[in-house]
Amino acid sequence: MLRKKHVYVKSDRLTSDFIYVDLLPEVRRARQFNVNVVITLLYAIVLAFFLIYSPYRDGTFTLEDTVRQNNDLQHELSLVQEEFDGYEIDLAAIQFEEDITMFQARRIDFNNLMDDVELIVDDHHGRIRNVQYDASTSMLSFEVLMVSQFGYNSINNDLLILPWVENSTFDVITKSSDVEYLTTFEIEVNYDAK
Amino acid sequence: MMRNRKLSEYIFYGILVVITLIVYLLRVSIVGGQRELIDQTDHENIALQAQIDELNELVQSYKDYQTSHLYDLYDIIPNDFSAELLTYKTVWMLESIGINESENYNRSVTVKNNFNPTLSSLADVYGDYTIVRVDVSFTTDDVTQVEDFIDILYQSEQLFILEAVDYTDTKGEYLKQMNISFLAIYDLNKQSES
Repeated sequence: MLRKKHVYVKSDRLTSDFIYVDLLPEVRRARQFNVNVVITLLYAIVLAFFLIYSPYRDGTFTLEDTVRQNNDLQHELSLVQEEFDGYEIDLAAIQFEEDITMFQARRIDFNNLMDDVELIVDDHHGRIRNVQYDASTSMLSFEVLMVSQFGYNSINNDLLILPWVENSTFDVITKSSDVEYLTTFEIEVNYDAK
Repeated sequence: MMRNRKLSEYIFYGILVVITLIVYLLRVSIVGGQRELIDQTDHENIALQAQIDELNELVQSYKDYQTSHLYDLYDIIPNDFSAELLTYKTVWMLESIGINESENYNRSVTVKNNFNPTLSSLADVYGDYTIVRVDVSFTTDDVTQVEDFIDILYQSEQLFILEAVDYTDTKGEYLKQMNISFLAIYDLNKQSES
């Protein structure tokens, strides 16, 4: 409560004084309170509109679109699934078959490769004695006996021409007997060669 | 009076702050929840679209693809393993080229079912398949028997991959052991699935 206004006036004639007492309540404070309430309410409404209602309304539209799209996609998926089932595609069998093909590609026709080698060695009047092959290192090695030691280079050159030969080298030529020389060829096999 | 007015102003601004806080919290819970739902549906849509694309691609790739029947494929890579059966099969292949139980041939067949495939030529491709190594050893006076055995392996219905070979042309004498190692592949996972 605000203090009431009091006015005291002394008379000139010294017979009477004047006292004024304001008994009416202070109205300014009450009006200020109401304005604050209105401002508060307006503030709350405006804030709620921009921060809650407006984004929520936009979000609702977006959500509706997304859900509609979701329904369309689920329908499309069921159609594609039906088509997939209709063709009776057995993915496990396909994968299994592909794996078999992959393993088969790792298999070499060893005798065929040796035929190539034997033809070249025979052409140079040589003879193959020991043959070793190791698939884990892709190395094929064989001993060649020859009467002349000068044919080994030619053999090596001919081997290098073969499409499945990645690289070919031969060891130091030694005497195997009175009439024959011996060396070991080492061939790196190229599995991918057609 | 001035103090009361200040207090009322503080209360007013305090209420505004509280309203702002409440509106913000409501926004977080309502609009945030909605946003979360939209994001979730969006992600679901992306996943659905990817699934549809993948299925479509599979249909287009394999709709005309003719796979062999599984039982045909199991002839190439069996889904059950028996060391005894594999030994018999190898012995049968040896018998078919004339390597019998005679002491001359000194025949031996070893099946290594606990063989580590990372040490083989299939180290990079064996995946879930079980690799078994078979070591065959015999003496012979005719090196073409080694070639014949390798041929049988290559043409066998079951997939056998030649792993290592070591033979010597003994020029008609039973002097040295001929060693041939090959790998047999098994799909034992399919056995447990079926």
